[in-house]
Amino acid sequence: MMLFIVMLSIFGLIGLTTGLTPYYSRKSTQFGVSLPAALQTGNQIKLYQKQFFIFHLIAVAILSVPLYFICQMDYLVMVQWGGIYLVVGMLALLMMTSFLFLHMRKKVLTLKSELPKTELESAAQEIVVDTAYRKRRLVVPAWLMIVPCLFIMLFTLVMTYENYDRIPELFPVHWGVDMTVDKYAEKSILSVLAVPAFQLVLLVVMYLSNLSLKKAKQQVSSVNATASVEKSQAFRFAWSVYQWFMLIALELLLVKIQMVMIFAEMSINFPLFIIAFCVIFIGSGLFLSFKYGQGGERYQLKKQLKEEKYNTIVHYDDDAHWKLGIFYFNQKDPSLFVESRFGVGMTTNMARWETWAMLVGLIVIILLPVLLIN
Amino acid sequence: MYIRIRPDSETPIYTQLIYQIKKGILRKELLPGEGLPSVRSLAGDIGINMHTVNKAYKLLVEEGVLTQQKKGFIVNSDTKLEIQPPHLLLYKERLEALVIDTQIFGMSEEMVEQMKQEIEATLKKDDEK
Repeated sequence: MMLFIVMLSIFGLIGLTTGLTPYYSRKSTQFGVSLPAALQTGNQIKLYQKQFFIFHLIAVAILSVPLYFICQMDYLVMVQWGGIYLVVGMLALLMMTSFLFLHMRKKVLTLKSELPKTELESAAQEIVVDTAYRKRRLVVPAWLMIVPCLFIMLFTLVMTYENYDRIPELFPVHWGVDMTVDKYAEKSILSVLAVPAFQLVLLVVMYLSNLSLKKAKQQVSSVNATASVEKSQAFRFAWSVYQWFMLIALELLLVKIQMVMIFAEMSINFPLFIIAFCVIFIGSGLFLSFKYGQGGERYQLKKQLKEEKYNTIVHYDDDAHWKLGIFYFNQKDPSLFVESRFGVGMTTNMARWETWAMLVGLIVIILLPVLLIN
Repeated sequence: MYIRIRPDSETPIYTQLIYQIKKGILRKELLPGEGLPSVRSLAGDIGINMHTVNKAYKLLVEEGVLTQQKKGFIVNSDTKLEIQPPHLLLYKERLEALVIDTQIFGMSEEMVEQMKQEIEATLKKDDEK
């Protein structure tokens, strides 16, 4: 029963967060299509958002049925099939999201093409840039991420080698869904380095994520420009702080995992601890998504900045550069990072070689801990 | 200040950029001695080639509107700018085109004067669009 609840909540969380995505995406870009002001306030878009959400709820409900039966089975069968079902279920959910997204996108594109020409022309044909945008601190500085992490990694290394003799010849490196060890690694100078290597990977990933918040192209609305700049700056800073906390917490969690692995100190509370950890970070991530919205669009500024005059936002329509509405390809644009179109956060300019170099580099260093264990 | 670029306009982007910066200086949104964004970051934020931004900055330096220092491009703190002979020649060329159009389309003096006043108003007013 416990397993059923845990797995259902994984499906539920994924379904819920993706289902809600249109609500915290920008009003001016829904389902990967830039919308002129006239469409942003229309009921049709609201209907699509609702449908998108409800479809995700239905999908989660359908996925839970086989899950329920799997969890009624024999313990060993349940553990084995549970893991497989989790992967299959998530893939199915991802496929459904993609199809639904493309379907909705087509509908929104039709709506947009049916608009009278003037509506489209009045939509921004202007790119607005604030020359002072980058003079303000947008993110947590990089050294504040790197220095504490290096200390934590150093501590992990010292702890591991100080206690090297106490580490068993075979130490656990993987646990099944029921928290029994199902994979061991042989002790060696290199294999005990897997967790510190993972700590390094984490630092690199979070560093790049922070860099994307700092460097991503500014997106200023051509009406209410000042308000949109302030919102966007607040958005970047809030997420950067969130990521900083997450980075430090995960690095410390890895110290604990290293202890569990090399000293075989698995306590019963540890899985619960990890679940609590996930709930806190996913919960606060959702909170930030709703408070700020993509690019800070939902964020309520404390002082009202002539906001009453206009209640729409207008961004430059660059749909031509967005393949399938979500992949940005713009050869001319030197930006590597841009605001993502669907959901919260940044994405990359896939037409730049630097982006691909970064992706390959990431894959290589992610493989590092895996290679160390084997 | 806000730089507003219309990529679909007939006017080349570097020209738009030059006049947006000059306008910002006249409206006192860019102050003497104030630094401009680096070529890379401005090109990234607008989403255009770095050469375009570089060209605009370099032409503004030539005219004496900006100066280039180690830190990058800054607004010239010398507020009294004088137009140099080659630029005066260009100015005359552009004025000629305007005078020709004014006459060929038979536009009245008042009409031109009114437009000029409207434009001058946008160079003073510090309004948020």
